[in-house]
Amino acid sequence: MAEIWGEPAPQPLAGNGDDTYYLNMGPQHPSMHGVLRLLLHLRGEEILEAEPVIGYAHRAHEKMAENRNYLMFLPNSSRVDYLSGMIYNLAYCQAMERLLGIEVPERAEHIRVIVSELNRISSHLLWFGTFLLDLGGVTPFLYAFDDREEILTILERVTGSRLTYSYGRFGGVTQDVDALFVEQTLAFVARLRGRMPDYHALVSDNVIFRHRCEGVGLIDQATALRYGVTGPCLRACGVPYDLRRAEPYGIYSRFDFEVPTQPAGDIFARYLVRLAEMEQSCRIIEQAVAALPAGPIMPEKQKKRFKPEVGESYFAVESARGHFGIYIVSDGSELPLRLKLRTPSFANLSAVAAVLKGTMIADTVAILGSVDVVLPEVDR
Amino acid sequence: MAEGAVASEHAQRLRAELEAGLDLGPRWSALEGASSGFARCHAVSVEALPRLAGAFARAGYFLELLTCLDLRQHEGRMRLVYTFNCFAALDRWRLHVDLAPTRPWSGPAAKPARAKKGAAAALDAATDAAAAPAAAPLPVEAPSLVASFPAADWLEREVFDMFGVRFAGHPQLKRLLLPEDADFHPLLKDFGRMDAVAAPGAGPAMGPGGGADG
Amino acid sequence: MSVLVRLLRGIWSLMLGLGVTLKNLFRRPVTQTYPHQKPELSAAFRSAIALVNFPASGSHDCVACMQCVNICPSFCIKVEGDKPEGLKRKRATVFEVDYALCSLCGLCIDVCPTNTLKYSKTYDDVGYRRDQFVYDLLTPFRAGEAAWRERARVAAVEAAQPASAGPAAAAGEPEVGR
Repeated sequence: MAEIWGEPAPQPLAGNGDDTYYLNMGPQHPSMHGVLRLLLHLRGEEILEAEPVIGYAHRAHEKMAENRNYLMFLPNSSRVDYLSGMIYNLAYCQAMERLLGIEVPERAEHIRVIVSELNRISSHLLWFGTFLLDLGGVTPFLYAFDDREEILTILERVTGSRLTYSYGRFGGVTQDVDALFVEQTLAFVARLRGRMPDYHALVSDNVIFRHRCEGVGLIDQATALRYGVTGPCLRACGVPYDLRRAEPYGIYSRFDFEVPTQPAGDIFARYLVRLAEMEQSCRIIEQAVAALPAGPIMPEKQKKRFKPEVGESYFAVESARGHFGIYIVSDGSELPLRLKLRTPSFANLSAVAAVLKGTMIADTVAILGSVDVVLPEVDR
Repeated sequence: MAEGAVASEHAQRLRAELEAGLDLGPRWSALEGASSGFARCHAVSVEALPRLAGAFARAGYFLELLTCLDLRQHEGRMRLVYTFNCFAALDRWRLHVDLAPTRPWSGPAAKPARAKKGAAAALDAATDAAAAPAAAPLPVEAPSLVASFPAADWLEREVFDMFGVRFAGHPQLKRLLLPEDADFHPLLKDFGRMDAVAAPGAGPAMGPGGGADG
Repeated sequence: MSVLVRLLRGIWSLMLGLGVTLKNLFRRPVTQTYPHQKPELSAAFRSAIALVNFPASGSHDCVACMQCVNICPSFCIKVEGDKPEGLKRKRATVFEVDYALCSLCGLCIDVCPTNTLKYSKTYDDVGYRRDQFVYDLLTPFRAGEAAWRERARVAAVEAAQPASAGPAAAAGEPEVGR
């Protein structure tokens, strides 16, 4: 096949002498968080080279977008990253609203912020649980899933779905929230705050955990910049870059919250940043709930067919994993000429190969887990 | 966006780098502004691209996005779109490079009426340069930016994977998302729909979306 | 810091963690033992689409406009319709959904001009073959279809005659609302 198109033939792997050992981790490996294959070149326990092999979960979302009209891509958007489906779904809606010039009612904007932040917390909680499961701690996993279940229940009551929400529409959201939603949300925020000391006592101060995490898997600022690493991984090396602050979208500019950072850039720093982010999300939720106005959740005049003007638009949001961008090129028809998804895990995973070089094989799972890659999002 | 906000340290460094005789090419100000999310847009030449990328790298920018547009049907070219941004204050630059297609267009012929108001024509009208570079032949290969941005490694492999665009100087230009033995580039517009591979005899499948000529 | 202090601190950190687990040992279990306990479904719960049975007309109100077919991102809806005798609107004769393909996005429900689509609440459908998930949404309405058509025809005839709005007039044009 290769010679048909004049493409380069596959190169044989370059070994470092006779004692290089090649190890395939994945694609079916319990700690690979999906279907990632890591091709490790080892000398003893040291990793000489780590080559992520991706594409096992490629579902051609970008091709699908070109074959469907703008509205029909909506359910795809929450399936790109199944852990923060709400954020991605609403990001696509917001990108289209900017392209089409649709005004979103105030109430819908507030609801969007609340559900997005709930979704962010649920994603971080799932990361917390599975990351510790990777490190061998089963108990925190159960506690985190217990908390996450609360969020899923709250969101299911409003959206009708637990993972792939398809909650947003161009101009607003599908279902209105009620007083019980507000009550449940505030109760959850209080509950999570009550659980945080437990999490810190159980995990953050645990001597075994600290030994495995401190000083391991360093991503410094230079590496982050060269690979375009964003999200908690970037903030864990001291760069306070959060799109909710740097390029405020929706109504995020109205809320008072901090961008937690850590200077160290190691696994423990990434862990601390995510835990601190959950608290900041709680603060945003409280402010949004307090400011939740009455009113419509969709614009009065709703269009059925969407035909944006000829042009290009890049819209970016801060997902639970970092900078998620949607680049839409419209040729004036009902179908996008090109819809490119810039996913944070893609960039973060490409940096993992550089980070893994020179580390010990026993740290691989910890480093990979701490970066929090979601493979369907990498492969799209 | 770029002009209004106080220029960050990175933006100042970038400006200093760019003033050192780098050719940015014609500016496309119609694509700039809050509605598109880009602070500056330029059509750059292939020759200037590696040096520009070096300038962005030295100024502390990161490669946010690299993708390709298949404009073969109406314009007879491929277009690579690079987006650079920095972590400090928002300053998103969009640079694009036009390339000659490595494979000729094999889909339905371009309709002249549509070509007139198609994306390519309308976007071309947006350029600030009075004289469009019409006569100059398009380059067939883009230079790889891996030396300046390791992030370009995977992004260029993905573009190669999906569009068949080649990057000169890439250390390992092989398939990224598709199987290594794949012999197609699915995001090309004449590829048809996804199921075109499953049913090769059927030709480009046409769905409610319009399939191949979408 | 001497080795002994570090050792003791490490042990103390483990004891603290064990204290958290001990505390949780006495909490009520949060697990739902599924087949024995049935989940409570929310009002917004989304499952395969179904046709609304309007009490006013005693049937659904699908006019086979094909809007749901055209908007479906999964191309999983199949609708055919005919024009009943004496009526101006079309009426669905085939309405099938391939639930195995459905992504439950709800776009069909959004576009339906007569609001005759809704989500059903089944969550435990199983099958051995994919074609078992091709649902015929008209099944519950088959028995009453002939009667509905007759009522609608009569209503249309009566509506055509001025000033004779009988009680059956409502049957042809059911009240729309959700």
